[in-house]
Formats: sequence, structure tokens, C-alpha cells
Amino acid sequence: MPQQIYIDVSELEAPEPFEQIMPLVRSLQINQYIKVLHRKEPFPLYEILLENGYNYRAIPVNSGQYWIVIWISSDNKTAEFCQKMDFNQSITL
Amino acid sequence: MRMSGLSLDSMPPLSIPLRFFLSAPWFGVLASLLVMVEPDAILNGRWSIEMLAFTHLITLGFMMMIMTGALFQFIPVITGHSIPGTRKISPIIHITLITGTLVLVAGFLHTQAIFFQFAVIFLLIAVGLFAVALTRLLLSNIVGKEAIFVLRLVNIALFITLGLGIYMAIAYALPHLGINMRLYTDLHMVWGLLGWTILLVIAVSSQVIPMFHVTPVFPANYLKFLSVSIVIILIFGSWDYLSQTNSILANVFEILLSLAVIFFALFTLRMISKRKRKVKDMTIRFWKLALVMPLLAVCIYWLNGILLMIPNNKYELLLGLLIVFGFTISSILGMSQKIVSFITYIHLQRLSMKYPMGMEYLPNMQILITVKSQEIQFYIHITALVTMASAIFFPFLAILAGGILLLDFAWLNYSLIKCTLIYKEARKKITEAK
Repeated sequence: MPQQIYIDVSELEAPEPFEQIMPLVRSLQINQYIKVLHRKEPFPLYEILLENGYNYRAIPVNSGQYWIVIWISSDNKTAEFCQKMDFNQSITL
Repeated sequence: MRMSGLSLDSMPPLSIPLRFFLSAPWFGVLASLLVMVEPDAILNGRWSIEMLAFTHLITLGFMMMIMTGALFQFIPVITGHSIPGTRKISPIIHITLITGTLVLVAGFLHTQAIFFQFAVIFLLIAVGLFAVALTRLLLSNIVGKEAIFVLRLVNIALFITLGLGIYMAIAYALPHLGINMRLYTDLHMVWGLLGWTILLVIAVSSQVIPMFHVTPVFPANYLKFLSVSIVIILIFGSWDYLSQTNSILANVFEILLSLAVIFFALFTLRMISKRKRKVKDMTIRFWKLALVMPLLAVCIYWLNGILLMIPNNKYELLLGLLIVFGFTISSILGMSQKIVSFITYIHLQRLSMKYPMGMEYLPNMQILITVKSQEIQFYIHITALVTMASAIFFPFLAILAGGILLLDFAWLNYSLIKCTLIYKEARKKITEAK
């Protein structure tokens, strides 16, 4: 099972969410994924992720927030795990 | 697996919004110079040709210019989709908006039909192209629904304002047609200021205030109710105005519009008061200043309607000053400094992903436009606002007011240019780092 790196940026003002997420993205390894709780969909972040060999999945939470999971595109095992992840079951951290 | 339907390459190059942001303050500088050169004519009421030239330098040259640039950048941030054809149409819109505004102003100042003929063509291309491109995006199935819902109404208001403006410009351009346009000037102004401008500020503020200041999310029902109400009031109010029945309905529409504006200002102030981290932030001060102005304008509107304290020409100027400089330009000053530093920072972050060795040259967002610089802007702006308002009643202050206004726009220009230079230097260092 891949290792989860969790971060809650939902109470931070822009660009702090970006500043907190980017170092984690840069140090992300194979068999790891980042799980982010965000107050909105960070579209500029998505574009940067896709350009640089990462992938993501975003799921809205009832409160209007979003769960976002990020993994290395070439990491097929973690990709499969993240795509199958049931967010309703994995709210506990 | 992308769940949110992001279109790749949705973030336009920084040069696209920046060229609009960097051009806009120059029109403010020109407008200020006009106040200094023709103080009496400008303070003579809204019908003088100098006043019309001044108004359009501010509304088209500054407001429209900066809002267009902001939307080119901001829509991808909130929706993940860029305005269709951004790279192709933005340079055309930019150059035709500059040329069209300058030619229109020359038309007002020289009252020559040829200028208006060219102004119609340039402005139709600039605003029409932008509105049509934006409509294409807004009619597609995109996320960010609440703000997008309001933006659709913003676009309707823009089309109506543009249509009325072009109609009047044709009256100037082709005087032999004998078009009676006086009836439409009030509608053009009301749709431009209370329709397009306020609706746009409602749409953008509902996104940027929670994003930059961690307030609760603006409720979707509030946004829909408020924006639809404003458009319905404006449509029926315009119909009543054009039918010229002088009915009591006109007062009903004025009361409803006043209530909508008060509701918007108080609701937004309430949302700002709920922000979680009450740190010193100049954008918040700009917002508070901006939101108090419509309240003041509504009070003056009704008090003067009942007590007739202020002569009509001065009263119209005062209301225009409160809405344009007090509300709109205060909002723009606050937002533009925040948005420009944010987008600059995001572009540098993006670059540093491609050049990881350049990470150490990534500047902090706060140094792009410093709090100190924003604070200076705030105090210059308040001084300009007070001096301009005073000059309406004490005309000897007009040249001084024009000078401070010039400083207001020049300082914005300085901050934006400085931010651009820091960006260019950081970009060079990041890409050259080994």
C-alpha cells in the first residue's frame, strides 16, 4: 500500500496552499501520494502537475471543499491505488 | 485521471494579462492631466465634452482595460478553462481598446465626426470580440458555477452598455442622421456602472475574497438572487425610462436598485468581517473603503432627492465620483495589486518546476508588491478621493485634485512595473541556474 503524505490547506489564504503543496510535490517518491484538503479546486496547480509528470484526482467534499490526491504519473501502482481510493472511507487521516 | 475537466494550457502567458494591467494606469494619468489642464470644464457637470473625454479615459481606458486583463487571467484560475482564442484575440483587443479609447477621447475634445467613425470601429472590435469570446466560454459546460452564473449576466450588461455606447457614437459619427441620443446617455451610464461594473465586482469578489482572505464561501443563492434582481430591475427600469411615462414605477425601481446595492455592500462587508485570519492586509482596507462608497452614494442620492441640498450638476458629479473612484477604482486598486502579485508568483513557481536548480531564486509573493507600497497607494487614493470630492464644491482645488489623482495612477504604474521587473529578473536567474 503506498505511503500517504497528508496536508490540510483549507484554512490558508492564497498563495499559501501552493507554497505548502509544492515542496511536497517536489520531494514525492515512487510508492507515495499526497492527499490534500483544499477549500477550492486549485486549477493553476493542476496544470503545473500535469506539465511536470504528476497526475491528480479531485473529489468534492460536501462542505464545498475538495480532496485532491497527487501521484507521480509513471508510478502505475500508486496511480491505480489513488484512482480506486474511496474518499468516503478514507476521510480519517 | 482528471476529474475536473481541466483544459491543458489554460493558464495564459503572463504577458497577456500584464499588457492590460500595465497599459491601464496610463489612461488614468491622461485623465488626471485633463483635470489639471481643463479644471473648469470638467467640474462644469457631466455634459461638458471635457467631462465626457475624462469619463471615457477612466471607464474604457482604465476600468475596462484592467478588468479585461484580469478576466483573461482570472477565469482560468476559477474554472480551469481559458477564454477561447485568448492568445490570438488578446493582442487585438488590447491594441483596439487603446486606439479606440484615444480616438473616442479625441472625438469628444475636437467634436469631429471622423474620430467617432474610427472609434466605433475600434471599440466594436475590442469590446465586441471580448464579449463574444467570453460568451462562447460562458455558454459551455464549465465548473465554478456561481461566479459563472453572475458572469453571464455581466456579459449581458456589457452587450447592452456597448450597444448603447456604439449607438451614441454613431450619432456623433454620422450627425446627418439626426439621431436623438440624449435619452440613451443615462441608460448607457446606468448599465455601465450599475450593471456591468457592479455585477462584475460581485462575480469577482465572490471568488477572490474567500480565496485571498479565508472568509466563508459566498452562498450560491445570494449571488444568484442579487445578480438576477439587479438585471431585472435594470431591464424594467430602462423600459419604464424609455416609455417616458414619469410614473411612480420609476421611484419603485430606484428604491429597489438602492436596496440591492445596500444589500450587496453590507453582505460583502459582513463576509469580510468573518475572515479567519485577521492579519494586516491592505486589500481588505481597499475593499472596506470601496464598499462604504455605494452606501454613501445611496444616502446622498435619497437625501438630496428629498432635501435638494446640492445643485444638480454638482450632485451628479459627486455620485459619479463615489461610484467610479470611490467604489470601482478602490476595488480595482485592491484587487489588481493582489492578483498581479499572485499570478506573477504562480508563473515563477511554474518555471521553477522546469528549472529545479533555480528554486532558490523564487521570490516571496509579498516582495512583488510590498505591503508598504500598497499602504502608500491606499493613502494617496484616499487623499485623491477627498480632494476630488472637495474640488466639486471648491473649484480652486481642481488642479491640486488632478495632481493627486495623477499620483494615484502613477503609483499603481510604479508598483506594477516594479513587480514586472522583479519577475523578469527572477525568471532570468531561475532559467540560468545550474
